[in-house]
Amino acid sequence: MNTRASQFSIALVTFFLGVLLMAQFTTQQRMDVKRASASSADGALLISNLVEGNARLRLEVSELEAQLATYRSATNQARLQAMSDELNHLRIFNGDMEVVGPGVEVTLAGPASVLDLQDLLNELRNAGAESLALNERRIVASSSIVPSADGSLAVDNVTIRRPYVFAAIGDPDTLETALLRPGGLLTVFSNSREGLVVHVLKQDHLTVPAHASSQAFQYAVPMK
Amino acid sequence: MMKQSLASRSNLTLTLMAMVLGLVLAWQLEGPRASPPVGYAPGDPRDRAVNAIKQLEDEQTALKASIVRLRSELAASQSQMAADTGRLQRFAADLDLQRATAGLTAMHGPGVVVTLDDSNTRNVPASSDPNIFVIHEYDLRDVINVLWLAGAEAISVNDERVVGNTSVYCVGSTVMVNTTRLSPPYVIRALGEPAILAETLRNPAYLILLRQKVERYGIKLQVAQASKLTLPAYTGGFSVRHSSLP
Repeated sequence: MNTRASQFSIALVTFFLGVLLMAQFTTQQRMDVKRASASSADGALLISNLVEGNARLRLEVSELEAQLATYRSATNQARLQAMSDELNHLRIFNGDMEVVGPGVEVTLAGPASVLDLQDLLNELRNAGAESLALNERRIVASSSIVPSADGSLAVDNVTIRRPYVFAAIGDPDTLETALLRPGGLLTVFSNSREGLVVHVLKQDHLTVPAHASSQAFQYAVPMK
Repeated sequence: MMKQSLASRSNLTLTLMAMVLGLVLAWQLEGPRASPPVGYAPGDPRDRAVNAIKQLEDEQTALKASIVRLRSELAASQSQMAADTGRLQRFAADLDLQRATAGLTAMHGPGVVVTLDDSNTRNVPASSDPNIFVIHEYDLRDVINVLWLAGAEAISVNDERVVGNTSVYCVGSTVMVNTTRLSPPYVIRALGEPAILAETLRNPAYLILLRQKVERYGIKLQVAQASKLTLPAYTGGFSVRHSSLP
């Protein structure tokens, strides 16, 4: 009798073990499939991203080759000029100086979270924005956007208030197209963020201020 | 003695039978499923897409290698020139600092290593979105953002340096940084004061969504302080075509 009972419970336990094993196996399979197979739309997006990325890399290669040619053959005067140009180029890229140029102004009216603003900033960078400011504060590589103590937002530890306005210098058409494309970030915002209204305005002339503090390295050491 | 061994044999048989029954039943409940494709026939448009991606990524690798080579040749010829006069030496020092700030130089120093990985959870409830069990681009962006806040002086994700025009993007479930595909685990290295970096990451005011996913869904987040880390140089392009000095 006792043996019967124990046989029965063993049978029951192993039965459920079998069910669980299979459930686990199929779930894992589903997750793997999700990771492994990009849909054809994803594949197309990936290809277009790579094509654009490689075009930018080729441009950089040809610019570097031209610069190198200048250093190798030109006069001292021309070399000095090339060095000065490169310094300016880097200073602009690093946000060291006030700059002007065409681009877009993106205004967010209504509630926007820190993640929303990071998302928008990322979208602008991805679309080729060169120089950026949020509510007249320069955004550089090391800028942070976090919640502030009073429930508002802080950019590089300085509180900013709504409406949030991005100024992005770059090709106005490219920037506008990237933001407004169907299925793009602004579509996502308008479908899922109650009360958030976003305006994109192309501009011929935007001014982006210099970043307040220039970086000095205390911990990081450049390698030669 | 005889009786006991008989009983244990029948136990074993029963166990096996019940197990098989369980597996079969669960399989039936799941219903027939198309097995995932292992590869595509040549000429299939999907096969061409896979080939195109492979070719583009090979080209990307070659272009990045050229950029690294050209930048170091350029820096060498500039410092050779600068050796001539004092004024040029200061010029070259400025250039070196701006290059380091831009992320064009590999760097080393103390800092933290943040490792993020998908959940190991196998039994995703049918009601949950499997998406919540994997690391997304916004998780990486949030960590990077907090590290900059904490005073990080340089950051990289896997082998990609994070610079002024870096975007952390998602195509399907693939994360792209500097238009390069990355796969988990994502290893974020940041140079700076290790204790401050680690402490800021623990601050409950930040990384709220990520922390929830760690607690509820088994997303993996590890922070390790390190006395010496090496970060790679940025190998992409940076264009300044539309921005000019006033």
